[in-house]
Amino acid sequence: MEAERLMKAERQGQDGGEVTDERLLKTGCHAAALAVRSARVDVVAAYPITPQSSVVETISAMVEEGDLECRFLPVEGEHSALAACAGAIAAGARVFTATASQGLLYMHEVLHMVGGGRLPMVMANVNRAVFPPWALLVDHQDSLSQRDTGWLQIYVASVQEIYNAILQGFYITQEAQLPVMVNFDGFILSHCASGVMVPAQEVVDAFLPPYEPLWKLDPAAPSSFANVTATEYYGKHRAMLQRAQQEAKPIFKEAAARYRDHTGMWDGDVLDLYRTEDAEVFVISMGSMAAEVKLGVDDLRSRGIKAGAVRIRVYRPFPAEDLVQVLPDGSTAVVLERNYSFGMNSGILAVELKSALYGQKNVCIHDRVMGIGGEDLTWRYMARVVEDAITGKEATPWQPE
Amino acid sequence: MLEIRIHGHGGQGTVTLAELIAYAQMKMGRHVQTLPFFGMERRGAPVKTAMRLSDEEILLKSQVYKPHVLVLLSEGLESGAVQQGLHKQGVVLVNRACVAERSGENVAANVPGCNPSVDAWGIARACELVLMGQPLINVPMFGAVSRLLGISPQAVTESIEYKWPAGSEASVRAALRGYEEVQGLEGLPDMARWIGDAAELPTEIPMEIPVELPTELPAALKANRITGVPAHPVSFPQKGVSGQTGTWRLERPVINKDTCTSCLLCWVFCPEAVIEKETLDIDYTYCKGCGVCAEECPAKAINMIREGE
Amino acid sequence: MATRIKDLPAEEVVLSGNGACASCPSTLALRSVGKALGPNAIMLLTPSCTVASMGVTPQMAFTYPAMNICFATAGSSAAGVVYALEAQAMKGRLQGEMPTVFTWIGDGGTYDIGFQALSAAAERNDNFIFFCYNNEAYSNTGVQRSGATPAYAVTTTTPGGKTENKKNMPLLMLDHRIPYMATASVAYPADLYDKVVKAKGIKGFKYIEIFAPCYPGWKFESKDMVKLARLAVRSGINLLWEAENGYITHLSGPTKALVETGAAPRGLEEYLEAQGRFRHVMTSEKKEAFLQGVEAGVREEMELLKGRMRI
Repeated sequence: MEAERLMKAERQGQDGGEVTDERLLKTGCHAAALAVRSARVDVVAAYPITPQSSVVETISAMVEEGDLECRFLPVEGEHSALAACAGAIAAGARVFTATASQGLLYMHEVLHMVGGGRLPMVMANVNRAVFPPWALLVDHQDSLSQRDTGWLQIYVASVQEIYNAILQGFYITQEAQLPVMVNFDGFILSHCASGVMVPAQEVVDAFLPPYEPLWKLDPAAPSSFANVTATEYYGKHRAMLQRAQQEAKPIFKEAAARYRDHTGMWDGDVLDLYRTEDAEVFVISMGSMAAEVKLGVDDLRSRGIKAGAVRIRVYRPFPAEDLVQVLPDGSTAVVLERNYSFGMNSGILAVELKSALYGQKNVCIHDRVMGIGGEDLTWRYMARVVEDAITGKEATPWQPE
Repeated sequence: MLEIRIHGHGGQGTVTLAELIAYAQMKMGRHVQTLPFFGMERRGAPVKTAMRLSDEEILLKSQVYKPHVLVLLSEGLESGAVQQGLHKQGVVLVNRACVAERSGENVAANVPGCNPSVDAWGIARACELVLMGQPLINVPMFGAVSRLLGISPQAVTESIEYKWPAGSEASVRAALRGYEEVQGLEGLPDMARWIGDAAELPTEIPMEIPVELPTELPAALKANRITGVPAHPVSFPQKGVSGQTGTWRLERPVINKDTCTSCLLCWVFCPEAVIEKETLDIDYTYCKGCGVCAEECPAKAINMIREGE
Repeated sequence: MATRIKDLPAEEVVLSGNGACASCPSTLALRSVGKALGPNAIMLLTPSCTVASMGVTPQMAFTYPAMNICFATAGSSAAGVVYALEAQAMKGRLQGEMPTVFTWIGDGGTYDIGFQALSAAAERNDNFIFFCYNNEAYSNTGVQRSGATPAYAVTTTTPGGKTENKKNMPLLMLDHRIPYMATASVAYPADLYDKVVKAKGIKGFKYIEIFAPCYPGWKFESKDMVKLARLAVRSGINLLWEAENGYITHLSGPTKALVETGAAPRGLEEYLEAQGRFRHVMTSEKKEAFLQGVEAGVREEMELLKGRMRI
């Protein structure tokens, strides 16, 4: 399993003894599996789909080799994968699954059940374009289509952050009693290998306490989950779900700060900001493109445009208040996004940004949909699109460089 | 606008009755609307259907809260809920079995004004209008309601024929008998005027909260740190989740202990678990009166006795 | 030795005053199942009459911990519960006897929308009991046709009578070669009890299908529910058998005589006559052909079973 061991870092543990962190060369899918191992997950139920398959394969191998004490449930489809997770959570287990694209769409009904049922778990979704026609590469249409299912959503920008966000996700889901979806870009993050720092198990255990369900299926104290409910209570329950989403925001910040305290690693909390302090033009995006666009920001600055980058790390709950704080009156925002809101002549993120800022800040917002179906996004291209947008030019047609 | 609310038990055809009335009124050029109550209760549980009749287009989509006319199909309906919101000059039309058999719950007797009645049960049986052992009381009741609303016998016949194009002869006969035999029409308010009047809405919607949520959390359920209340939609074991289901019963099983051989077949075959194994006592609070125990008793020691007899 | 009625436990898992129709075969069957499983069990339900009648939050009509799940997912959600219990036992967080996990599913959630997940759980040999209470229609939504509805039966989506045969679900499950499966009837509660006790003691996937006449759905008088279930067994419509690892190992009740001695099925006409859903054909000139067809079907089914017996 641990073939490419590159480096070991030794440092003082909390009890004064030495703990060993490891730096490993891992793909995004492997990093996700490592996080599952670090989190001491009890049950994984999953179905393979490109580009997620090696998450499932790696976890099965870990379980087979005794590297992960966990029951792996090889279901016959994604709808069943998440349904099995729901059952496992209800029986008191810490649960993980992973999917992508069509698999996530196929789960849609159960996403509502797990979100609406307040069943804590973490899912890794490897972002991939949706059918038809068939496409294997990244865009964000799959997970953004699941926006209103009650799940918390994180979009990460590096292989290391996949590991970090899944571990943070287990902390968050337990505290918020809402499921967490960690989204990472297909192939760009899932299949490319980078160095991944895996903290020593003692460090992870100190960050992430053992799972204790607030409710479970228990013959000693029988109760039933999600009976038919009268209108009055159904309304209350849904309102509570809405409130829980809002109140999950501080939990994300707490999880990020706590994780930094224990591991020394930081990816941002709900937003990841780059050169925004004195910026006049804000480039807003999600996922891996939001890492490379930082170079575009440097380029724009070198040409006298005071640009900054805002990576929306936590998409649900939407960090509206944080965006209001970051974007000053009179500034310009250019949203670069990998999805469409069909019928709105826009992407989904721009619509939400406008809604968040409405009546709060006077910001000129440009929207550019790009990177659909895995279209490659270089910083040079993104910088040019930003420049064209703010100088009033039409959207730049994409050309390979 | 005239509002009607029909109460009965699941399977008695409250929705069909509303549609028969609606069809006849529609043919008379009126605007009509039926509002079945959507719930999860099964056959035999108390149900209700409301409807509106108007000379103007009906824009109201909300529930009926202040009916002018109540139509009660059967006994065993809890009087408080049935009467709720009845207009102060409201009319209560009952299937006579209601009045005769459960005096404690005689809704009509508690309501001032016009309280007509009809023996829908008797008429349906006399006309051999019986399906799966149950007389179709909604048909004679349709005749009686038609009389109240000024629907002509001809229109009654046409409605029935529209609803059951194949074989409606017995139904027509039963409906027309209901029309003729309805009693107590003295002091009947002017229905046509109500139909022509503007709609009245209650100032406040009465909330029917069936069960209070527990104020203290059961041990099995811990509060979430965010909201301080249980995050999960969880329920706990309880007898009578659908109320006192003994009120669904039309006939009650009575065990003759002299001929009973204590074979326990009644106990083992009771779908409701209302027969006690040791004593064979029947819990009439919840017995729905399905009759399986009487049918299965090899000693024929169980008789089904009509409620009220 | 077979359990006698009087030896069945007095404990009830179905609480009186629930929302089921009077004469509901689901609650009746669940009573026997509960007596056999005892209190240490976990129940899963997909949308069905049982769900519609089990109580409105915060009340429920059963004494088991129970989980409402999505319609197609009985096999997978139950597997999830089992794996979670196994994982906790493996890690020492769960001590003592493992609860029995079981699903309580109608024919819709078994034959049709739930078939994929059911088949997968059987193939994985997940350790739970899948109960199907088969009332041969989607009764909960108003009696529409299902894969279990027999030919000629009138439902609200086959108003002229169903023109296709039902699928042979028990044989489909037999070919999954699971450790244990059985067919049962609400008219034979002690037989059902014994089968559930047996299933409880076997590790791996168990399937038990219970024949459940539905009076509003099939249009007969409520008092005749058990009688019709009994007639279905006597006439060979509902054959009672048990199988292990793909072979039939035991026949019970009247089925034994029917299959082993070739005794003539009894009461077929009475069984069909009592049901409003067959009235259109039972009162027509097609009646004789229909009866002969049904009886031929019963005999063919018995021949099929004989080929799979290792008694």
